Amino acid sequence: MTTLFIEGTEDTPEINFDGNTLQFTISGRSLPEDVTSFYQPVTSWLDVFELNENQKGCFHFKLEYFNTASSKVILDILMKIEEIVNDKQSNLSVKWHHQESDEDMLEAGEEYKELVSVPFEIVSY
Amino acid sequence: MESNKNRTFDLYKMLVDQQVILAYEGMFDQEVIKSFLGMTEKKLAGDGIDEATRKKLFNVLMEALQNISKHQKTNNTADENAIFILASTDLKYYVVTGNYMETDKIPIIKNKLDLVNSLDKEGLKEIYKKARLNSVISDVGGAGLGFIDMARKSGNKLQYQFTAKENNSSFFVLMATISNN
Repeated sequence: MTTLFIEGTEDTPEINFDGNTLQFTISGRSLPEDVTSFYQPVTSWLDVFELNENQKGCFHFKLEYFNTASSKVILDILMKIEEIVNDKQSNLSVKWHHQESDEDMLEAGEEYKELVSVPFEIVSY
Repeated sequence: MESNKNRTFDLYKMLVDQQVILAYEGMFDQEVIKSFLGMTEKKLAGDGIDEATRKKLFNVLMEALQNISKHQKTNNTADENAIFILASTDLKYYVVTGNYMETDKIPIIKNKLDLVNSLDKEGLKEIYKKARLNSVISDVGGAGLGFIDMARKSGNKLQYQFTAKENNSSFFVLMATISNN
């Protein structure tokens, strides 16, 4: 399992996919001009992702803002996670983090949760 | 150049009773957008508005600005620049954008806006989910969800106007209103 790290900027999120702790986090702001090229390393990384039988990993989404184009890409990522869980029998879960007062981010999490069949927890901070 | 100034001035007049926080005329790109978002955040931090309203406003701004940067006419002369105005009253924030577009594309835009304006909160949620599932990121990097998202986040109808100019060119003004709770 390789680690993927991309430093966050004012318009792109931090990507911290830690191959040692198996905690994979996307955090900050996602409003890149070109979502496809920004998220390309993430989707490539997911394409070859696989866990051993005894391993357990978690994807964290802890976003402050995301634009509508990112909203589509996040759905694609969640669907890829679902595919990995189903096809490779990997033990994976998703945690969607939202600020307590941020109802739109809570609602966004609920909408994603309805769409994918992976263990999906929504937590406030 | 003179007529361009007049058009901008008309929009100022439209908002004459409101306090203009930011106004810009020119080309829109990601660097310009980032600086507006940064300025707005700084300005709002001192305004004492609540966190939820601030986030909604930031979201609507982000979509409105990226919408212009993706759909502004790129072969334009200085006379065909886009504009952006952020204004407020005590109770509301207004995000106004204006840009030139091809006249024959008006029906597509108008249909989208009318559909969005005909729906309530639940209706918008349903159409957003459906549109996102079917959406494909376009060549300019859009997901085709901007208007729906602006209507959802703002919680108000989107106001718009098209003004025909010469050579299959029209000026499109879009205004989103965010209530300051």
